Amino acid sequence: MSPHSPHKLHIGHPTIPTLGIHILPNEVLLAIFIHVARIHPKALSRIAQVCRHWRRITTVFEPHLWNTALLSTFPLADFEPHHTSPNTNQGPGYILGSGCEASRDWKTKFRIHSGWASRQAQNYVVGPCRPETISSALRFHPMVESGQEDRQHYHNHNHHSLPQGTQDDICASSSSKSTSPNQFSGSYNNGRSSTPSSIPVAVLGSNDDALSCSLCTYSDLCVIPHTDGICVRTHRHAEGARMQVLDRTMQCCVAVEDVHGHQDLVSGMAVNDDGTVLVSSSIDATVRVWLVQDAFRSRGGPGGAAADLYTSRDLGLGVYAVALQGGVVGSGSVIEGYQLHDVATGQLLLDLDEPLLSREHFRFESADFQHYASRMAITETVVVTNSKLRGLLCVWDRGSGKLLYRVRACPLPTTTALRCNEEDMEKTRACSRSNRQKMMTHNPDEMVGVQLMQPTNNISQAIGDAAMDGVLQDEVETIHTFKLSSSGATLMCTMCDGRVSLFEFGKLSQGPTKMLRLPSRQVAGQHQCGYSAWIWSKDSEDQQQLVLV
Amino acid sequence: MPVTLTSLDDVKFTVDKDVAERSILIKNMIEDVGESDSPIPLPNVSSAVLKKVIEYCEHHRNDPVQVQDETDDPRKRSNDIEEWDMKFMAVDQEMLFEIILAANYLDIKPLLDVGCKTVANIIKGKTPEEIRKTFNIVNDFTPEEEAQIKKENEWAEDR
Repeated sequence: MSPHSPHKLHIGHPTIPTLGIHILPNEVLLAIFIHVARIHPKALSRIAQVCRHWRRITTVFEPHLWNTALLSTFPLADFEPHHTSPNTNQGPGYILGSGCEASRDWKTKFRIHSGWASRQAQNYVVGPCRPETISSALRFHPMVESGQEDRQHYHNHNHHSLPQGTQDDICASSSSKSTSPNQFSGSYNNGRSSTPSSIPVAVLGSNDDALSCSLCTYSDLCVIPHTDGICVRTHRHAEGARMQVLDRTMQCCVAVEDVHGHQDLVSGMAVNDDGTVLVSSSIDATVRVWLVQDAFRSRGGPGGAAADLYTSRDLGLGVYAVALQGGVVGSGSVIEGYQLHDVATGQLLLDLDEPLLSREHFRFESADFQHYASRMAITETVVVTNSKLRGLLCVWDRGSGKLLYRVRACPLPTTTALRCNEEDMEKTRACSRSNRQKMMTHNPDEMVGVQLMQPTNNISQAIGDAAMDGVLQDEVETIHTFKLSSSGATLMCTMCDGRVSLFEFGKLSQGPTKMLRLPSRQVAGQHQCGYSAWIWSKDSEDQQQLVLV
Repeated sequence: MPVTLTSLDDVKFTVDKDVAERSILIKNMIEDVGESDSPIPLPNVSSAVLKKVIEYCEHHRNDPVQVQDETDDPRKRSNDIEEWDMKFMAVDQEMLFEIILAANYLDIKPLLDVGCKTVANIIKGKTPEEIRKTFNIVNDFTPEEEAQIKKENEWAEDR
């Protein structure tokens, strides 16, 4: 259009059918929606419900909109698709976190992160079950059992290719065990399973001194992602540090021997999503970062056992917990609390020091420290650590290091909860304000399939209340350990009484969950923490399945 | 050197060149045609709207020109609306959308941004039904569709 046209152009004359927002072209509407995504992400889902036209726009540009929402709400989130190594031998069963489609889905990620931020999660609690119930109810096929020396073989015959399913998260974790050995072989059928294959979940043989509800775990285990099920494990040993590399069948076991290795007991390990970096912590006060070599990653064989020592950092005191996520390594000791360092530069990023009231501090120093296990996990937006208050987990903002809230890992028995006096309740309310009790406790009655659930209770006392009084503290169970799935969606927490608590963030009113449990034998003594791993999957019908090992 | 703009209803506005060139459309026109005394017709913009737009451009005449790259990273963008802009945008809905439309047509990105942010703030905190009511939008979903959509978005609702 020339400004010198002799006639005025009326081509663009507003032939407006209606007024108001209807005059805006699609690209302007999209621009508005992007602003909505940036300023009020949760309004995005409402926009899609307004009319067909708006829904069409939000559907077409969904990835862009949610990406915007995500990055502006959670600036620390890392959404670049992780580069996986070329020799990735990734069967469907080994999808871990960011390797899978689901976590590249912005919306899912947003949901998970806002679940953390706004304390929305479903909580499932599995109580200890009686041995006699198990033997009759579960259809187990005992598998390889060669209990030689101190090693067990465990095959979990999960069915790998869930039909059309998105396998959400698989995470293997290990807790220190005090159950007796030889009880961990088994498999489960979900009714349609036909092709047995294995997700190697290593279960370490227990020695006699297996009791460990204290600072340093008896054993820890890491499955290296994007490998054919290679694990690194560590466990207490009289001679000090011991790390071993196991292949998928748990047949081969190679000790990592390195002059730069730890000088004392290895207290924890963590691996990144790519399976390229492994960090380990030790009570010799170092955190060591190992680069996982390709030879080591490639399938099986003891040949690739060596890992490079990358750096070592002296933290002054024993390190009892370690976590790794996206270039940030976290470490935990008892006195110093938790710290985050940059893996590349070694720079201290955050110092997480739990704020405690003086009486809480006193209680910790006088008694509770005996039960305290330093544990931590990092997601893209939050850091989760064990709290010095019994039975609670702390959730910190990863950007600012601010303590966001505490989560009660396992709901209190109803009787205990009722004993909160009025004053306490007031404090609680003041503490967690409006967001209190957003954690939903799943009603175990909905469980279908193989039911082994022995619901402890279904109160929604899950959200942390720091104001619990000392009397109640004695009845609160000690957290043994906890693990996060690599996408951050699921938190599993094992308690010393054998209960397992699971939180699923960012999900509401999902289908029923099947709980399948592999047996653990009751042992004498008070510690019954027998579960070492879990598998969480979702099939095409949106039925969730949970296997506790 | 002043530039003359002609609105849809033939009202002439004379503004400084640097003010007019806040609009990329006008800037490009002037560059293409060269200096000229003849008025620039803006047949898509009514005089009432053009007056507002010029008011905006005059207030922001000294703002640095935005670099495109900076605005695309959601982590860096600022969500705040300046106080002056907020007051400027305190107009009825019809005018608001006309301004947005004009900003889009005239290619004045900061004004378009402010307009979109303002609308986004109107949408904030409203239920779909309230949004429809606010903007006179007809709900054209079938009840089944509506139920389905509601289910899909359940997770986002605060409890």
